[in-house]
Amino acid sequence: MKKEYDVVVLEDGLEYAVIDEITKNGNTYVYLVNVQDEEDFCIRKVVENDTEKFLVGLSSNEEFDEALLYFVNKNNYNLA
Amino acid sequence: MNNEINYHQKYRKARSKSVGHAKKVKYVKVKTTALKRGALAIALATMIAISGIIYGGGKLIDTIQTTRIVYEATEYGRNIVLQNKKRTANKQFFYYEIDDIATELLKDPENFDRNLYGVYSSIGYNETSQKEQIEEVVKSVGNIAKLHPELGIDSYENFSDYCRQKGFVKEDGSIDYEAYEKAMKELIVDEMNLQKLQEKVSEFKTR
Repeated sequence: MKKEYDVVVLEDGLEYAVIDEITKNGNTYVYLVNVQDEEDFCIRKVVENDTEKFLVGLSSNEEFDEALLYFVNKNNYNLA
Repeated sequence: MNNEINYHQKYRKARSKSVGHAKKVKYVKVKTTALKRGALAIALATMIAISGIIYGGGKLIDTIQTTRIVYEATEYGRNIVLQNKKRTANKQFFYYEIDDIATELLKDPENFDRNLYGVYSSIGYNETSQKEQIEEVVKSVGNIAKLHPELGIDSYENFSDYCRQKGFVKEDGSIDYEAYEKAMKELIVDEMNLQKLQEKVSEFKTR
């Protein structure tokens, strides 16, 4: 049986599968893959207010690199 | 070489789609789906190839070590925020005890800048809220510092004034938050390296 992934819709109107969530240093990163194009991916982080959760853009290019590294490390690929 | 160029393009595209404060959608799971056969493997392989080709292992490890060092060094400031984040009486919202945060910050004047960065990095529930709250925190710090000059903390009007005095200003006169964040991370790592060197020298002298 194929694994089912949660799907969210981003600003571009496209559907993205949530393939992972990683919490590091107080931030929860969400790893998203375009359902129609598996090489099209992006990373967002979760922000909560009192009642709702949002997926927001990362703060900087450096944060993108860090979040990418968390993902790579979690998947047991040692780049050192 | 063609593959490398291709991965550079994919990296830039992924980064562009990921970074930016204007990007914001509700985190609502609309449905579930199974990915196409092999799709997940391709996605994972793409991310891993991008990270390896663009940066190489050493740079990546440096990046994560810096993040860890900064996170640990700012624990005091983050805890101040956590302890002074309160729920309203009806439990529907939360607010910050700004004056109490300011008071706590002034208990450790020697590490004021580092602790302030800890508060900055954890206060607020979005970027706008963060900026509003940190302005108030530094304003409150300034008010207390005026009454207690013996602390040796400059009396800043607010966080913008603090940034201006530290030189984190763009050419158009607005506050350069990115420059502030970058400088604070570098300062924290430098402080840690300096501390290690001092410990090494001290240890040698006591042999």
